[in-house]
Amino acid sequence: MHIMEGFLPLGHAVAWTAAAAPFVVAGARQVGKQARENPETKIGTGMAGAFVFVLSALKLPSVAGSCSHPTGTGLGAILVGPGPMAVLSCIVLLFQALLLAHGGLTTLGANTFSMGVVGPWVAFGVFCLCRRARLPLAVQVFLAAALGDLATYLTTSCQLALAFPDPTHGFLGSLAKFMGVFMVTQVPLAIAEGVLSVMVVQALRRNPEVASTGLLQARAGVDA
Amino acid sequence: MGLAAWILLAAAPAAWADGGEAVELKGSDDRAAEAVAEIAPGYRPWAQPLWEPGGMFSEELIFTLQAATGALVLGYLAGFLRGKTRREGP
Repeated sequence: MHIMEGFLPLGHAVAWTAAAAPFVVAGARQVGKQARENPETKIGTGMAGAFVFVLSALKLPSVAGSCSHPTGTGLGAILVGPGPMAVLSCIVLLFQALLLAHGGLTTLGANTFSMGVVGPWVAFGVFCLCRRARLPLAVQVFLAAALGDLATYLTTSCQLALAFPDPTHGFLGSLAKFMGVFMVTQVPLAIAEGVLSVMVVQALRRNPEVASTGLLQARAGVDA
Repeated sequence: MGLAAWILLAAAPAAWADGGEAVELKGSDDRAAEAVAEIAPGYRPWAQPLWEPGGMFSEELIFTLQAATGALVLGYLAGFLRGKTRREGP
């Protein structure tokens, strides 16, 4: 989902940066506030960030001879809420832009928006809906993580299609093309991410300490 | 056990896609850049990465370092939680 350095026209790059910035700032504030009020939340935030770090480094093979990586932001959104994920994703994307030439500084805003804002909020929304529908926890987590992952790549497709509309078929023509690139590759990876997220949540639930650290606090928030 | 199953699941598309032959996997990011070149052949990226992996610091090495850093933090925090539970009781 990394749009490569320089691959968004200046106007688009600025606009996406402006769109992502408030989420990153709000996320950073939320992390700071939580850490002051309840230092135990630092464990959960650290775990969510570390999970994103690991998963977004896993270049996994997929269908049609292409590879891509999961994002891990859906699990984080479930564990610590979608807010902090914007700043955590931005840190990971900055690391990859500077040290891996994956993504870039000019596209950092657009990439943060897809991975750190849309993905986590979609995951959180799906999680809340599934919870309200009283689906089993494993189904809630699976759908949230998998659909959050797909939403990130759908957003990237839209961002590129907006910047590069097809000369004859316009935005939709381009969107179909970019979705063909990203979504087909991503479906198996989104399923893998969903399964792994379920495994992590179930492992965490077995730990009695987890309840007091604010992990899975999103669950409590929905229950209330 | 579950983790082993997950690794199999994650690796399955590779076996299916290449049918036993070695195929170079292309990142979907690179494919998107190719699609941009098709749609807008005149577009020239107006910024270049400040630094690209190469030589001793290969992409694989840095990806591995990224995953290792994350795994280290996860392991540390998991151990911390476990130790805390033992000290204070559930």
